[in-house]
Amino acid sequence: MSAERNTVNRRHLLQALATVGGSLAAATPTLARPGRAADFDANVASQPLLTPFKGVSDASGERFTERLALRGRWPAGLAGRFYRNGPALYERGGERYHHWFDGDGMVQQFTLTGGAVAHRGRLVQTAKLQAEQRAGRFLYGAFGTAVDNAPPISGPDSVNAANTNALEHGGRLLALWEGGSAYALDPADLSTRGPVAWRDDLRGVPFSAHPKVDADGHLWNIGTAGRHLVVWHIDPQGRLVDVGLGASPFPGGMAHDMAVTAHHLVVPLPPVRLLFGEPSDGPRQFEMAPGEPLRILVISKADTRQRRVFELPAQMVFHVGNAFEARDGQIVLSFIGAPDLSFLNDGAVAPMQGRPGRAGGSCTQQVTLDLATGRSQLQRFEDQVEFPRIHPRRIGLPARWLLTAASFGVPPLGAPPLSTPPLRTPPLGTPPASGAPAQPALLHGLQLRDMDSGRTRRFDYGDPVVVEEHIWIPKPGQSGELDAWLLGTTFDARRQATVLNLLDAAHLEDGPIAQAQLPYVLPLGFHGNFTAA
Amino acid sequence: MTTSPPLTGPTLAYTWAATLACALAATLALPAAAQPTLAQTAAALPGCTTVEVHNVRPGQGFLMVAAFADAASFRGRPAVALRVPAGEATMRFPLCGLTGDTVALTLFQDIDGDGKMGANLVGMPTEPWGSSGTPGAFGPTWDTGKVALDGSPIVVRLSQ
Repeated sequence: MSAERNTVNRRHLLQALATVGGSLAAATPTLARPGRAADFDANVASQPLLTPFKGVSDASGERFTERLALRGRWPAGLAGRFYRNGPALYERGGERYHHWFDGDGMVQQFTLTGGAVAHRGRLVQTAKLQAEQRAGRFLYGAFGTAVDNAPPISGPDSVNAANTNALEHGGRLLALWEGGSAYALDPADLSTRGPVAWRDDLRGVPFSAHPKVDADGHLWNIGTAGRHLVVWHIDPQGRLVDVGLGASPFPGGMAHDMAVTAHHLVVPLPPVRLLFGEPSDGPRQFEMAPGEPLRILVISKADTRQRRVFELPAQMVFHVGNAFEARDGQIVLSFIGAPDLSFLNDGAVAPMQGRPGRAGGSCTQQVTLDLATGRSQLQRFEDQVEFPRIHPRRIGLPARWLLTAASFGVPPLGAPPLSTPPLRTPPLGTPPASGAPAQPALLHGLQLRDMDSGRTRRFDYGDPVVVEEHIWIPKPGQSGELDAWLLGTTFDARRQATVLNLLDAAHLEDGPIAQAQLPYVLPLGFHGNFTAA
Repeated sequence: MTTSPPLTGPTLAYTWAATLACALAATLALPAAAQPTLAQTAAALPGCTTVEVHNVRPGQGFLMVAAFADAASFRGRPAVALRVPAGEATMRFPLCGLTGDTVALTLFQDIDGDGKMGANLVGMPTEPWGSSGTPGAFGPTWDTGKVALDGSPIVVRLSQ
């Protein structure tokens, strides 16, 4: 009984498992028991934009279309596999999850070959999904939904939803979730191979959903487990190089995304924890920890025990754009931040009930972190954006252009929409108007921001369209930052179909140069990546 | 995660895995004769009760069972301990030698047979565990684990 390895401290266990609630960790004073599927069906009838939130069943979680209907010109030189992942299965046995993040993950694969586009989608066959398939009902609590009489879990992988990101690396396709192992899938048919154990003693250690692959093909990632913050380094062949274990400066807090520079990892730690309370049928609110700042943790890649913490005014951060080493020991980090948790509390909850939700005005920001002085300087830009991405060959290097999904000039709910998006760009450093009303959570445009000048270029798909994350694909043989295609999915409420869109980064304003329409609606997903053929 | 207590508080200042480890030590200390064979049934053994374990990973290693008689001993030495070869997905076996009217069972499946409950780098269990009562997702306490010792089977679900 003295074997330290055998001694699992329950406090630590609780904290370690505190990230298992879903793809993110946040404060939940109470958890809500499942809702009713029929309630969503009744509400969504009058909300055509929200159809994708119906999600899939075990049957419709298996999709394949060999040749999608095409529009425009798909370049012959564009060949490869575009993966996306997101919560997809929301209902079982007539019960329905409350929170968008709860759903079981479904990986989408768009295979682009010589102007043709095929689609395959499959639910990740996690241990959780299979157990609940057998039972015919939800067995386990999820991020925003409690389930009565849930069985004990061995660890986070017991409830791993594998629903947040998909990335092909080292010959494996990884379906990623924040709180547990990466799930390995077969790129050929999306069949599930199982959770990845990078080493025997690392089974179940969280491997977060936003790893970064640097210019040399090395993959860096973090994992949060209670008081621990784990740093992963995987080589281009998919082999573990190193794993570092250190204390988190905000124990139990969420750490959703991270950036990588030539010498450092840069991790935003918003003041949000996952706290467990008694289950409840009533409403619950996520809360930011009072008095706690937004921390930016800087970790040395050479020695992951060397860590610096910068403190910024409290705000919510899900995603980073990029980070790079600037002159004189400075690190520049771009990220998307929001002043409050209205997205978690409403934007990702209301649509699950068939109601439009609101987001909290997440906007582009850039902070300069001075490692010599410990000082930081923050800029905010006036926009309404999420899902930031940069040119993949600029990861960790100076990048000029930041691509985001966006809303333009959206008035508060209930007011008539603007017919023309305003193109006014505020001067650098202008903070967003205080007290601005929360904005609708669904995005309908794309924005490229020049992080040098602050100017933006935009394309608006239009109000009947929901825009999902778009990614960059370098054009073969070209190295300019805008010598790239932008690829991403939209949900078109007029056609009630999911559409794959291709744009030219140099001509964003022109909109898609090619589209492929699916003969069905996919659930709205989170993140994805492209692997060239 | 339905009944988990808050993250902080004095009730968490113990190790339930250590409890299981103690149970193991006690098991090994028991004379072989004290461990009934699986062929015996609880009904045939006065003073015995049936334990019914679900979610066993069939044929993998051993079930390490510890039975505690009261809150004071829950963190310490079990009243009775057993080491049972893993059988089918649902197993039933007798547990004898208990007295009193309340008991709490904790157990884990020692899949690799090393005598310890496996844990990964950050202390998360890597082998299935379970408890009588309603342990919730994150480990048992006396209060969540205690059940009446009234002759009815004691049901334990192993974690998955």
